[in-house]
Amino acid sequence: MKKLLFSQHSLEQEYRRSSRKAVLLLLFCSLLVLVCGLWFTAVGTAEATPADIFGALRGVFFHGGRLENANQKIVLLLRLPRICLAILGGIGLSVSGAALQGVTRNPLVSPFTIGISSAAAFGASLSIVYGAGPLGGTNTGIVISAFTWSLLCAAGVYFIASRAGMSPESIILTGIATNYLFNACDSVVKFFASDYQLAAAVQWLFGSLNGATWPQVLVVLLFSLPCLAGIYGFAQSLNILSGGDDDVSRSLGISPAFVRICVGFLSVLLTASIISFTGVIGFVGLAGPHIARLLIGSDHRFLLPFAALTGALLVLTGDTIGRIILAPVNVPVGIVVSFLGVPIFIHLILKERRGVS
Amino acid sequence: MYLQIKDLSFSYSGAAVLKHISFSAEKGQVVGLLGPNGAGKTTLLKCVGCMLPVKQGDICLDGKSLLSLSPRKRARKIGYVPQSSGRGMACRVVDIIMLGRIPYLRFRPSKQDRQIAFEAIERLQLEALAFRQFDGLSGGERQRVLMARAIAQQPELLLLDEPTSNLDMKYQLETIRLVRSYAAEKQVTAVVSIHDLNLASILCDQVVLFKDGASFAQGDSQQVFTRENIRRVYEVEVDIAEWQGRKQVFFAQLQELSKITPVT
Repeated sequence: MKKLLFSQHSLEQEYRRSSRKAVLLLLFCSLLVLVCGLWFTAVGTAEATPADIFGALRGVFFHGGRLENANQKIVLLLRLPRICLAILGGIGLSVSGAALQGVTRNPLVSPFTIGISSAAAFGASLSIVYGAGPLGGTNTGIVISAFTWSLLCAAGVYFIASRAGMSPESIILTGIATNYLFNACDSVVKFFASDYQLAAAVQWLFGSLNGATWPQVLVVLLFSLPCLAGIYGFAQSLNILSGGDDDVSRSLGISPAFVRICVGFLSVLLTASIISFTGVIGFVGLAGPHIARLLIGSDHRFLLPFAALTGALLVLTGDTIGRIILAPVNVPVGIVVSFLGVPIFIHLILKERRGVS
Repeated sequence: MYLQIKDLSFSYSGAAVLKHISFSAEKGQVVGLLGPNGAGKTTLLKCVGCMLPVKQGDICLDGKSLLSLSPRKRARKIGYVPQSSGRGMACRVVDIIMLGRIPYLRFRPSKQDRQIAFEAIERLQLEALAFRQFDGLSGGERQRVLMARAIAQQPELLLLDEPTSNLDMKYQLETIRLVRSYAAEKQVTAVVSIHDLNLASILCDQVVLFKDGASFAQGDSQQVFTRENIRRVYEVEVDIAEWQGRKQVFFAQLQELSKITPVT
């Protein structure tokens, strides 16, 4: 009788049905991000109406960039790039977090626990305080310096961890050590900085989307798209790697070290390209993937896109709250995201525990 | 001979763990790897599956060396069932089993891949669990899921690491029946590391008895099980009886244990 109930035909049907559910949930959340993006564009010191937003968009796409009023300019030149950078940043940081957690099998890992953020902060400080590197001291110089140092840090972690066979423990421990190293370096630079420079360096650390511009969005987009696509290509490998020990991966023909190196490189590149512009928006890389995992499970084919959406929503909401809560002062998004993410995070963890007992 | 292990040696950072192991098996046979803890059973199993880098000796399937194959091609020939670990993923059981198709596909499983995975589900009677989350299953259920994944790989060589050690009696027997019938039906050679000598005697056509990384005795399982062999390898006195045509092993000196009674 049981045999009849669950024939192969019905297994196939059930498989499709339950996969479709996840896809629908994904579509719904993408729509939510889009709606929030448009809605938050209207919110701010200068209230823009939906008409302004659509007017601005229409002006750009159909009338060769002709804008009718100041509100449309605010929308197009200040709000929209900021919203786009928030979405892209949230997506990138959260997906990097999910991917790194997968390859290290450790839910506490994020791009920031393995030293990238402190290396980027060190790079930024170097540029701000000493004007080191190309275009030192200018905004572009800070970005280049932060980006370069985070990649150098990742290369360092890679060389040390590969000596220890690229095991998850070696990656995490090396990452934590380099994190401390660059924190110390950063402190040294700041110790010798003037008050004015120190303020700028600390400001950078907060993580802010202030003054986002379209060129920045474009650069982040150019880095994000290939990195995101690449990471998603490893979704099944991440499932294997995070679900069993390395021998299981090998027996399925997947080299754990190869996956770790590729996914690690893509995640680092993605993170570095974002935080070089925005500064450290720390909590997203940890909370985004966790919230997604609690909602949809740990199948990376769904987890990765879902983490992207939760990350985008976190940063988007965080930045918008930061813009309006103490207006006209902008509270840096990094701070708001932590205030916002921690309660959600704790709530979900408690709910999960209750569900188990 | 179908599976041939030729003069295999292996060492972890200088310390020899396996010393000149050779054995061979026909299609459909089940080979048991036996021995005390740390004798090298699991290491040998992982060497046979090329999960550890084998530098000395050779492993041949159907006359061809497995060592020279690409990892992906090799994964189509060898299925590995790990010891059911505590780590659980919040993943549907059916997706875990579908991972067994990874060596065959590029990205998405085709209809045929799904069919093969569903067959594996039916063979292990996992229909009722197929859409549950893997991390919510019991140890025995997980073991069956991992076995289904290995079967979905459609291997020619099936490796099982302590497949019975976490199971209750019913599923121990069930696992033995499953491995034997699968090996016989699909003409697959199975290599099993196993602790329980009595279960090994029922499960295996031939056994390799290890001591300190070297083969102490090997051959037909009914001939290897002697009082002398077991005393020398395990340092335990046993009696051996034949029960329904299979050798079974019993502790010889239980009287002194019975003498230990609580002080009242």
